Amino acid sequence: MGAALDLSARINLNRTSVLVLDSNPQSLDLLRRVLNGFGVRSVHACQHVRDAERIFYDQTLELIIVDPLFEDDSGFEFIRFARREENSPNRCVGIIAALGHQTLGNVRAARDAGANTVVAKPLSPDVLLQRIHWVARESRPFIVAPNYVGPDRRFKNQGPPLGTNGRRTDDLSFDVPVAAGPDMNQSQIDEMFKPMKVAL
Amino acid sequence: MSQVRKFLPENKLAKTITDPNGMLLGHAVKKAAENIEKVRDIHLAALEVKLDELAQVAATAMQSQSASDAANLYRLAREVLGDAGIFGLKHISRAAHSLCELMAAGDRHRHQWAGVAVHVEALAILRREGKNPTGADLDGMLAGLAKISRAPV
Repeated sequence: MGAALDLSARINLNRTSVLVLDSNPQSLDLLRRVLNGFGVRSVHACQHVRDAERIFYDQTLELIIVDPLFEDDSGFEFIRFARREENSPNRCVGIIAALGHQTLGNVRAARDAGANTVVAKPLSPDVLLQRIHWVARESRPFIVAPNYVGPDRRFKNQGPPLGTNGRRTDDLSFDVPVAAGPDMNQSQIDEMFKPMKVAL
Repeated sequence: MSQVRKFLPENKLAKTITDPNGMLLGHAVKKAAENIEKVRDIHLAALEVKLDELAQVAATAMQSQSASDAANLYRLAREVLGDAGIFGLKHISRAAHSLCELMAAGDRHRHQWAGVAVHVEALAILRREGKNPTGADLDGMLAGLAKISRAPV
């Protein structure tokens, strides 16, 4: 995700509908203008959570950008609400949390509420577009569990938590089988990838 | 053992990056930057108002030391951080970030309110210096602010 934006790549956001939730009217206006610059025609800018919930119910969305740091917990709660609306077509859309202050606690709260990624303010157009591009390329599974709904938080497969066998069917056991033969050395591996003539 | 369901949803944004008629990312960034520049004056005027409000709220909060005033000050500091930073006022943005750290520390910071007073003074100096400050050792001042925010917790 940290890689620089490939400025020669293309993106077509003309038909994309984006919901933006931010309690700061200046930030909301700037986000709308940045998205318009990216080609987004349909930006639903909301300063209040209740307006965002109404848009979430009424519109088909492709992306949500939210600064969840409201006076209370309602910004994070909005992300949780979006992820738990089982019958909504917007339930699995990409959610970018644009944090005004990215403490470890805030980043964790955004991730655990179900955001796909976090971007730190002050925003810059290139970083925001990089995150949108990243979300567009994402193919993470979606998890529905009693305590969490959202994109799989396991970026790296480090196996199930210590002392458990895991809850998922693709969690690997800690029992490592005995190898059937010696490891391949590098030249044997290279040989497998070497183009060779074959008799047809 | 609780039930966990896992599935691969359709990524509704995916088709936006495979469209050959799409906009070059470089062009999109340029257009967005132009759109921001169009409203620079309006937003910088709003920022000035917000900095005045921050100074007033800080004075009230230092007196009351109430949780609601502290929360209001934290909100304003976050907003200044973002609003100043997007227009390249990086010194003001950094000072506001330092104030955010101080407010987020809350009661755990033994000298929180003295630290708030220093930050408000620093923000006033930075406002006078404008976008390209030269006179004072501002980097040193900002490093000092960061030290105050991190200090005795």
